[in-house]
Amino acid sequence: MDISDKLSFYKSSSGNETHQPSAVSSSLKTLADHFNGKIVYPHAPYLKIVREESLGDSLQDAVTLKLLSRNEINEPLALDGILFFDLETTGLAGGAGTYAFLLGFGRIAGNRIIVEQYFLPDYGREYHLFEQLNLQFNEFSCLVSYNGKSYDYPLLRSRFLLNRQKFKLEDIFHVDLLHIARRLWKDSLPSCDLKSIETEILGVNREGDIPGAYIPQAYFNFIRTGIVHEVIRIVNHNYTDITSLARMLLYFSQIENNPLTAVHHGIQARLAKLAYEAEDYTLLQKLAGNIGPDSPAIPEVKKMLSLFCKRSRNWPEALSLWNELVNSASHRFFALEELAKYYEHIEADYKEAIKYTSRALSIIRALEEIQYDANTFFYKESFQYRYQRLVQKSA
Amino acid sequence: MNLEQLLDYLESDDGFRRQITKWMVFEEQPANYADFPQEIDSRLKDYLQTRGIERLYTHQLEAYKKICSGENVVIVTPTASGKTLSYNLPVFQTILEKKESRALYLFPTKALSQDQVNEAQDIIDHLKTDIKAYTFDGDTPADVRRTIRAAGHIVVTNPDMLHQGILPHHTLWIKLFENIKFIILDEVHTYRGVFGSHLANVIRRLKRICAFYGSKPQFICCSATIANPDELAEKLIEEKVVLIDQNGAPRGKKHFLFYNPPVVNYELGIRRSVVSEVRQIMRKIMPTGAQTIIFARSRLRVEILLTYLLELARELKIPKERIRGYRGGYLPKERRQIEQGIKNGQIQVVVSTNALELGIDIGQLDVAIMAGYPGSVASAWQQSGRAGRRRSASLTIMVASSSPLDQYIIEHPEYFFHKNPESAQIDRENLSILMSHLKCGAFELPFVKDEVFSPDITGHLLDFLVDENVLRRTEDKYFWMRDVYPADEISLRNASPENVVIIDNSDQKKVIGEIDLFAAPEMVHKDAIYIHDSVKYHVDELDWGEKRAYVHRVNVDHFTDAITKTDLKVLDILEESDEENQVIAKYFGEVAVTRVTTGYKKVKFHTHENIGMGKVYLPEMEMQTSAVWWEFEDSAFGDDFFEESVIGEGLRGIAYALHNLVPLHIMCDVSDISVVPMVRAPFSRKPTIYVYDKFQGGIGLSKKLYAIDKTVFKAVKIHISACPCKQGCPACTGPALEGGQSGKESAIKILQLLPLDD
Repeated sequence: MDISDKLSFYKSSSGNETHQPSAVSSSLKTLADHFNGKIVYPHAPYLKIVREESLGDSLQDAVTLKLLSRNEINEPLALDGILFFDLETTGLAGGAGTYAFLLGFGRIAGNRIIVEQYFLPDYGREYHLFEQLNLQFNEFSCLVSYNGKSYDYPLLRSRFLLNRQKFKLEDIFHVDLLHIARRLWKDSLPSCDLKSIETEILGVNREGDIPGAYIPQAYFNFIRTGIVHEVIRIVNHNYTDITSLARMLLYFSQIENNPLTAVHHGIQARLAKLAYEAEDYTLLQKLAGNIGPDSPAIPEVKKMLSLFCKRSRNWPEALSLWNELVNSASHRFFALEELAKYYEHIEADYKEAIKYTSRALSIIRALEEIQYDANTFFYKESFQYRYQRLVQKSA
Repeated sequence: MNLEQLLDYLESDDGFRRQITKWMVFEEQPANYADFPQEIDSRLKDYLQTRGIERLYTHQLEAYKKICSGENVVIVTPTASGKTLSYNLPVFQTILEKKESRALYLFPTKALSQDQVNEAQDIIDHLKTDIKAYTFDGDTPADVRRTIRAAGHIVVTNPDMLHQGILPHHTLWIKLFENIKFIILDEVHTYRGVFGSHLANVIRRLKRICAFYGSKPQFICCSATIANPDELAEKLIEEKVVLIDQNGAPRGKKHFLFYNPPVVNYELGIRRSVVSEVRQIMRKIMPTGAQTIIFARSRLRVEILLTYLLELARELKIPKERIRGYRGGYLPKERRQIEQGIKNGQIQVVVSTNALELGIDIGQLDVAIMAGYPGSVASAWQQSGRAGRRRSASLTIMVASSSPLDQYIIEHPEYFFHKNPESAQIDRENLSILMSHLKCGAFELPFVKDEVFSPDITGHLLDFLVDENVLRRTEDKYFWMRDVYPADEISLRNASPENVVIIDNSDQKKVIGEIDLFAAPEMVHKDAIYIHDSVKYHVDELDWGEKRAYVHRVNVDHFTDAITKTDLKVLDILEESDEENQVIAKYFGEVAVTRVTTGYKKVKFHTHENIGMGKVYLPEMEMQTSAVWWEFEDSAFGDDFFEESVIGEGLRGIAYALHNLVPLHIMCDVSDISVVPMVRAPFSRKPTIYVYDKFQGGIGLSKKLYAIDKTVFKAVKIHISACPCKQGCPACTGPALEGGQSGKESAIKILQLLPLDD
């Protein structure tokens, strides 16, 4: 049998479905068998899949994210009150016509994560599921998602409204881990999408994963033809999204509790910044002391330390840090600027200030001969301005 | 120099006086007042009193009463007749009575919405309550959007934003849609043709969403003076509407001058060009410092006039920054700067297309000049209203061109005294437009079996979209089944959603403007001279695949005029006249038109002589549209006079005049329709004149013409017969050389054959 005959077989079976909407299709049964799932509400059926796995040993009862969230999350979050969630949808544009056909939820019990997924094999299957979900939503006090604040959450809310149902997650506390991930890795990872963080940080490798961009089309194909194998990949994809959410939360909690265990250099630098912002000098010093002699994070950590010294008017310490940083390619303009500021405003030693300013300008000129760079350009204007002012002041 | 002095000066100038065919003075009109209704909230009354409003105008009261009794209204309002209060009064009263009430204000352009929200804000500031009014458009920042959705009592937006930004996200606007009491549609006369046909469908979507949330808003429409404001409003909202057109507002004294340029060639009946005539007039006005707005009919005209006026400014030692152009195609930021410049007086003369005709607040100018009749009486009044908006005297000069419509208007200034004959047309059921909005509608809410969006054909179209895999039908509902956002692909302003972007190669590949796809072959074909802000550009390449035109700046003394060729094929006859006569049969139906730009003429500035030609190789643009056509029986041409070539000349003459007079009866631009005369039509082998809508699917123009053809032919007959020229001229049957020697005579004889007087 060639492929078009096979397809026409599937086509006619999906055609029958339209005439008998209440019937459970064979494709859905196949999926249910594959995942050992349960077909719910046979009149307008959807599939419920429950799977679980271990998250490691001796999990704590609660996680703290005070430092990493910049005080947005002040109270510890009880693990058993958290609902992890992620949707697979028919389009990324959002709007009332985007349908969430796979809803994944996870919760932690003991050392394990239990994932419940609801697959809707056609349009118009939300009503009874949402009734069920609303009953369960009451049990949770916190929602955890990845990019859910701007995408999944409003979409889910919109689906509930379209079904004229109350949305019981309306005012729930919501932690979007993307925001924390961006804060930590914005400068050091090429992308902060979930997959990059899985490979770079969490050590999760997805096999046979379906790229997100193909998901809507794969679902449409399923509706039209009943072919299940792409749906299987989507369900697995969504499952991994949920378990990775939990792992990431635990990873953040570990860093929060013991920042010195963070080995990724990008994090070390960003942690130093967070410690500076939180005015936690002890932590800042610990981070500086803990950092390996070859770590690329050194200049950034020193910068934060120097800013802290500046704020507490510990000038000798600050000066020594700046003088070290003058030799760092990435931080020398910062250091020269700080030195110039110090001599201009604190010492009123304009000659010395001019010395640092001219040094910066001569480096900029040299760099410009090699190639143009926006960062240099930004500093150039401010140094030129400073130079003129200093010359006037000293005259 | 004040306006009275300027008028004295012009009146004493013989050269100027000689060309004035009619100096109309509209005397001041007193106001008709009515007392505030009893129930009006005292805070609102206080506010109005601080603004010097002690009583309402009668039409404002009438509107208020009708609205309170639950009716939809359309208010016909001349400029400065207090129309904003007509709807703000019931809206604010309702919100003050019932806190949760909401209203949606729709204005055709973004610039207008900004003005309106400022006015509403002024009321709110005085009321000292927490009523919120916001504009919501493409420029609204994301964080503000959230506030507007949740808390905006009055949301001011435009149809495009409603279509792309609000309806597809209606679940975010639940507060608005659950409590919406009023929808304000201002400037409804602009919602005609393609734009109006789109808007009618956007309103269908809007009403669907309101019904979903259990609300049924009332519509308050405002229109400039046209023949059928109530009919138009009823077509747009598909509900009954009460007409309110007894204006109670006072009016300042208005001088309205009809200026006909001198004839320079009696034989050909050619008059001096509008552009050079306006330049002569401006030579008199510019030194007085009077702030002047000049309306030109096309973008090209704007640019040519601007070039001339800048030369004049140099001569008169007026800084060139004080003279500006304004038209679509300028970037928005540039336009905002110009509007500001007019308002604060930095700009003395602005040359604009009709883009500035609508109520964008540019303050009060002294003089309005129309460089050519703007194409409709309604537009002429609105453009004229730009001078002296308030109660002071004002001056308007309409300079006629040699075109038939202009000359017709010059000879019949009574159109400005009596009822405006122009009717606005839309076609909600235009298939391509309807289909676009059906998709958007399905995205917003699944269609239920037997639901009616467009009467009779909804189910059919939905099933078609199912076959195309755009929708999924399951359990008697139709669901959107694509991963795109359909509203993104649909522009309300064009029948075709695509644009050609114009890129200046001489300035780091800067985008200087854009142009719609159907106009592109004529405007930016290879080697065309494209003029933008009076800077001339040579088109180096039109990349049709990428929809880009690459241009570079040049300094030449000519512009280009495209040559196009049209073929026409009848696809289907939908209606035909059952009238029995031996001369003429009329039909309405669908036709396929192919249009191709084959070349261009180079035309010299100032002298307008033809200085060369060139060829263009571009794909044909194909269009299916609706058309009306008249077939003449050969037997009617029994007279020996009617040689075949003479019939041809006559038909061309009639077509020329018909084309130009249609816009007086059906609101459209001359360029919105095409008239094609054929001595032997391929379809019938008979002498035939076709008129078709120049939009994919048609937008109701030829359909209306089918209904009122006798009236229009009568006007054509009177106009050609009354024209003083001998053998035809640009004002009647077209320039004699092009029309042949007997065009005019033949046209009159053919028209006499027609049974027009029963």
